[in-house]
Amino acid sequence: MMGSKVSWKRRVTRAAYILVFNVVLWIAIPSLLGEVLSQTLPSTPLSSASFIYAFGAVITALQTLAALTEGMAVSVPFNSGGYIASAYYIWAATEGGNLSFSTSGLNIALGFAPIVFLLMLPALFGAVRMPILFLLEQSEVARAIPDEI
Amino acid sequence: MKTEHTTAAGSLRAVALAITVVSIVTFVAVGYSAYSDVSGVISVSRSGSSAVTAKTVTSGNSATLYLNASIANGGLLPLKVSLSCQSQPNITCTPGSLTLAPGQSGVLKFQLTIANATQFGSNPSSLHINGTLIAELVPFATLTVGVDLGSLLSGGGG
Repeated sequence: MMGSKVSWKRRVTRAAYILVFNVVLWIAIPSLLGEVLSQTLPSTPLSSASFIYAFGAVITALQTLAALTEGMAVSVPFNSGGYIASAYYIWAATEGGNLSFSTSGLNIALGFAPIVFLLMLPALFGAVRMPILFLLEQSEVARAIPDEI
Repeated sequence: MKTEHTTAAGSLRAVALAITVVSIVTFVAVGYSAYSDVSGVISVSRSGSSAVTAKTVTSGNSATLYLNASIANGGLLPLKVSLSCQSQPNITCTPGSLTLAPGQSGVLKFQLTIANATQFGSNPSSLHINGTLIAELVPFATLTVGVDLGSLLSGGGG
């Protein structure tokens, strides 16, 4: 897909879909979760609107720019950056899988680091996959060009 | 050349799909296990059955709390439960630990002995023993609850 011709109509349509999807995934859903969790877990980063909006805006912007530059080399850093930002967002929002709070005189601590790792894994793999695919395509293009003597 | 690239891209896509499938299966297994274990504990406590029994026995100056809890693992993952307490002067704690395979049930036994219990006789609420209850869905999630075991003793057990 990287080296192939992609029309601007396709890019804009995809970017619009990705924009809406990312706003729902990284801003709307975490905001709702933050509202629910802020009563029992006031220390969670999800209870901070600025945390959600800042990360949501960064991830959405990177993914949208990646869709708008589809087929160009510049889409690779946008894509990888978006994936890395979303992996970090998951880690920061869950405090690395360690949450603690007090309720009814009980001190409760939740540890779920392996689950956080599993949540981050698809994003981290995506961050590596994009440059590999780009390099594979570039090597293919380079091989196809005959040597000039 | 084209085949090489297509194979590599296909393999990467297959790995991404495998990671997603494994993640979804794990989340479903952990979620179902947590739900069935928690709902099992809630239904037992609501039914008023003697799933958890606390008995205080006094002999001379010392008082011993025997705590037995029947636990059933209705989930898909092994469940590890342990109850321990901080050692303090005059207080001896025998921690209880239990690992249950899916579908198994067992009894968690915990014992706490206070050597000089008479000093708390007039004011049992002044007795504070930091206990720690750990429930672990091996190996994915751990729940640690800090409880005051002294309240169990001063409450006379239950």
